[in-house]
Amino acid sequence: MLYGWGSNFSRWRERNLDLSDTQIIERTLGGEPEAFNVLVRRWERHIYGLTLRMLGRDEEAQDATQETFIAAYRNLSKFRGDAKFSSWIYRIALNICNTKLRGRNKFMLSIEEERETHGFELAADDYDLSSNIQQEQITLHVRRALQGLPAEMRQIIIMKEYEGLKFNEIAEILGIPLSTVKTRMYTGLTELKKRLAHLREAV
Amino acid sequence: MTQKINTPNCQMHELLVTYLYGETAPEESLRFEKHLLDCLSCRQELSAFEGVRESLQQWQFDEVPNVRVVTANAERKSALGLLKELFMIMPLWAKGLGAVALAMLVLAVLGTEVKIGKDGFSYRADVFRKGDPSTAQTGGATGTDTVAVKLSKEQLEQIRAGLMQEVTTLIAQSEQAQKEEVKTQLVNFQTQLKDMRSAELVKIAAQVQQHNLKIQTIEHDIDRREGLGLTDILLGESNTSNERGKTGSDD
Repeated sequence: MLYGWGSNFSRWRERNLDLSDTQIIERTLGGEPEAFNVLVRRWERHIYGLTLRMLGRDEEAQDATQETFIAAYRNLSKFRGDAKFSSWIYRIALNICNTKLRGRNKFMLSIEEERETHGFELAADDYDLSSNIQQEQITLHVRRALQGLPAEMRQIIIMKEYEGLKFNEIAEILGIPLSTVKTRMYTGLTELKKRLAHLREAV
Repeated sequence: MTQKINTPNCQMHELLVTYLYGETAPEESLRFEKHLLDCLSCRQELSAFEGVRESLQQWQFDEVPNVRVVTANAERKSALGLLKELFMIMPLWAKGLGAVALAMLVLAVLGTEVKIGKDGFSYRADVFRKGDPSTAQTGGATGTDTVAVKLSKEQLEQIRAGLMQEVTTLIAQSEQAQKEEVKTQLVNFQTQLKDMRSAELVKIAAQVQQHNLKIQTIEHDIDRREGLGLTDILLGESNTSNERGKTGSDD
């Protein structure tokens, strides 16, 4: 029998919102599978943010988010309580993103990526654009600048800047030395500084 | 105050990013701030990185996809449930063997002795015997509750046919139950598939709506721009016609 997205979960969630991630995992493994969806609700925004900024494409990020939670649920018994659930699920999400990035056909770059590779121009200052559209332009510019970075740098910048993780947490998630994390962060920021100089001048 | 030029010579890049994100210990902060006073390059870099951070924060998002994980029921099954499940997946020959073994077990528990010899079929059930167990081994001559029956070949055939019919009925019943179970499972799977499809449809509908909104925004912007252009043209034309009118009247 499978549980869906029904009232069972709603009732369960009302009763158990205050539980820690580890307690929810224990309950899920102990025979309350619907408990897992509390974790999904708790972490979906973070995971979607991570995958969206890693992949740069909305639909692909949505798929990656779904795949991340399904993989986590299937492998929940392998989760070791000595690590944080967030670190574990971030690692799963990054693995899924990296697999998707590797699977992309290098000879079939989208127009967006093509422009990103060869540069692009922001609308001129005097061009009468609504603030919404200007904001979209800025977002697009930042998005492309990030996408232009190597994945190993991009993932560190995303985890630090958008997810607010500590450097040592990032090192733990990626399984690399702390100094490597900081060096990649520095290199990534230096690269972004060049790519975003255009934007700062325009804005 | 002398100022160093290049950050690479400072070898401070790790400390710089740690300071940038506020993760330095108090003494490290003091050390780096002291260094900043002397190093123009690090000051410029820190300021530029703060600008980069500000730009990065411009990329935010509002909508989050509705993630749905269908979780399997992990309830522990009872021993009876497991036995039932085992019975359901057993092949017919195993069920038959199981039935025979069960029958033999029951007979053994009843202390029954079955003999097929020259005189036909005979059995002895000791279950109701109340005397000394040792006397039971000696048979009906001891005068205990032992029952000895002699059956003819016809009776034996009848019993055999009866047993066969019973076994056949049991097998038919189990097959029927198995079919019912499979049917129920299929119906369950169909329901789940429907649920999953409807979830997908909702997702697609949301995406379509999102795209529509974007298109509307773009159309609105295009309309606005075109509107401005047309107004300019119209204004220009009306001015020109006014001027022409003036010229005509002068003439």
